[in-house]
Amino acid sequence: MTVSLKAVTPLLEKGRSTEKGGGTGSATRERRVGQQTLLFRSRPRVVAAAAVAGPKESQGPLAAYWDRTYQDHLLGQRSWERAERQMCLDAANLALEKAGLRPPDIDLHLGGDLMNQLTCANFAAVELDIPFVGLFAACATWAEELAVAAMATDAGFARRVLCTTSSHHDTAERQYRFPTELGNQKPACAQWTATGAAAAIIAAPGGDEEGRTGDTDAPSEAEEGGNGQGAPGHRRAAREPAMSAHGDGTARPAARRGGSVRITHATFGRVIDMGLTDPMNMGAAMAPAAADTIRQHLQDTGRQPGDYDLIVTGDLARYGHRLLVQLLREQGYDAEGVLADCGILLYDASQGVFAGGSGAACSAMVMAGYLLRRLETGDLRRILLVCTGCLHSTTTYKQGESLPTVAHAVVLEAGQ
Amino acid sequence: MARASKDQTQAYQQAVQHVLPPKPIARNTLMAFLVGGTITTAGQVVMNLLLAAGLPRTEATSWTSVVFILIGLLLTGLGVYDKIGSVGGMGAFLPITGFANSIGSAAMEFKREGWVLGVGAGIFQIAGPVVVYGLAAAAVVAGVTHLLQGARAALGMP
Amino acid sequence: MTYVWAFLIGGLLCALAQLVLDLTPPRFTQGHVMVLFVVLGAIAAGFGIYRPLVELAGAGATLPLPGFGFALVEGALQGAGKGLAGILAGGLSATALGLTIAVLGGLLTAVLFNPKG
Repeated sequence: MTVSLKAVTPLLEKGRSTEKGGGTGSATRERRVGQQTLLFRSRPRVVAAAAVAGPKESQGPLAAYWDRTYQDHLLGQRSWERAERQMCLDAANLALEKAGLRPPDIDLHLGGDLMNQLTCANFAAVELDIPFVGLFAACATWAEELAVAAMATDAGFARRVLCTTSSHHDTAERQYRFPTELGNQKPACAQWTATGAAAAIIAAPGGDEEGRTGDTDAPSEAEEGGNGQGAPGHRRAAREPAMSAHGDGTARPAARRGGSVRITHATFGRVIDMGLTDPMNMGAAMAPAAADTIRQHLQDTGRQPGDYDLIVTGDLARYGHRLLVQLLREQGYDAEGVLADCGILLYDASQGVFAGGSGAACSAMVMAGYLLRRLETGDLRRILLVCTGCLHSTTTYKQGESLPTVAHAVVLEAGQ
Repeated sequence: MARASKDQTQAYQQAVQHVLPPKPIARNTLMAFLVGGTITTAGQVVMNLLLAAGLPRTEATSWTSVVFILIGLLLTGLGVYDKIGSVGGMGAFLPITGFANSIGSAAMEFKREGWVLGVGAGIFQIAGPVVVYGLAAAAVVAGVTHLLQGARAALGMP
Repeated sequence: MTYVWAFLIGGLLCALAQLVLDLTPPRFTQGHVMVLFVVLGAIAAGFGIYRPLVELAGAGATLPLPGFGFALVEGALQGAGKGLAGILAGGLSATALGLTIAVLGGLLTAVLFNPKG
């Protein structure tokens, strides 16, 4: 038996002005659908992507999907922050390798993380030497980046865009909560910030052929058998976890039939504040934002949850996920059969991660490693990735403010 | 404006409470009791050893605290105390070992920001409030007690 | 026999602290509970009810944080012979050994160890 959420739904129904959006000319109408959704008619491609994972993540159910793993979550660096930066760089370089590209081939780098002032993204950007735009949406950053990349490539402002994001359990713990060796107790609804990074290269179709410096056309060992199910036992030969603590291991990125996945739509969410104040229970705080964005997206596109093989949220984790199912049901959408959550997918319940994973890298890693693979093999045709973020700061928390949250969504389709 | 009204927040809070598992209050309390009791019993062992060695009572008490501060710091440095804390809760935090853990963990963590601006400034980040309000409370209490000394004697309290 | 009391009283104080932590809203953190118990210890010492507990349970009463509050008050009261200055200085003086060791030990911990996360 559940508690009725009828009182809440009026907040989540369209609260903005009901004027028809974008009424000034055909150009806007071609690019916008409904009130809040963007349509990318050229269907930008995800040319290549890479996901790297820390020790805990490399022992989880998705172990076989990481391009590189690290046994030392300090990566032999002198601070957690440097370790996170290194993971971000590794992911970026692996993605570039897979695509057969080099930094000069990329027109724009979008990066983000959870750190104050986007530290890790900024410092990684120095190394990559690509014009850089930093984005912050907490754990919703990945979808935000993909959407902006799709906008840039679809409109012709960039031929190829590199998206990177990272998070690290200890940089987050240190900044948002307590010194990492403090013996504090966490409630069951707490979440575990993922240690890892992901990178993806988005390109306008056609535009990504210019200036490619060679192909990684090696036969795709990973695709044999065509079974994209990815049960943990399917440890692919091409995926050797890096043995070196410094992360410069022997991982060879498995070349694969890349570049077939398209970004077709994006829905930027509005910021929702349900008045919750406990940052140890972010899943509950973010569920309404996810519900709002999903509802808006479905309304705008005229689709039903069943039109997607999966609607995957970023990090609502166990309890936020249940609340989302309820909230959507109240709004008339029965999405339980297709709803999944990256925070739940990333870890096994026995790993001591409380309600599940969180962090900017959580949704990014799962998408770039696991979901993308399933899309490329055709195991999934079309998914809605809804990354969720909690936009508080340590200052607002101490000042007794509530938690504003946001959810951004992108549609990923297996293409031809 | 996408901000919930008080009623909406309340309604949602109720739904959230319904979805969350109940806090294992009984188990937490029991673990706190056991872990805390174990630490304090170990403390009494040390205390008795010091008393047997001939130390006067007050000094033995102080030195027992010292020993346990050091134990707490060591276990923190070895990366073990956070696990004790997650199991024992306030059983690990209320004894002086917890105080030591908060100092040790902060010191280690902020080392990366330097010895002056990091460790120096941050070492009391968690433990500071205890010292601040402990001192303040003690000053007030002692002051008031001293003033009321006569009244207390009249009431027959020691 | 003090061992039994040390266990019971020490355990009870910790159990009480845990209950306070669990039954209060989340914004009342471990740090808040620690402060509360130090202050309660000081108040109890002021009323003279903590000393019997110390005599009964030994470390069971002195090792937990209320014992720290108690030590501060006792020290302050001992300094009362020297007037106001004595009261104000007494608390810190009585606990100076512990605090200094904590600082020195904390620094040493930072020198010797790194956080493992």
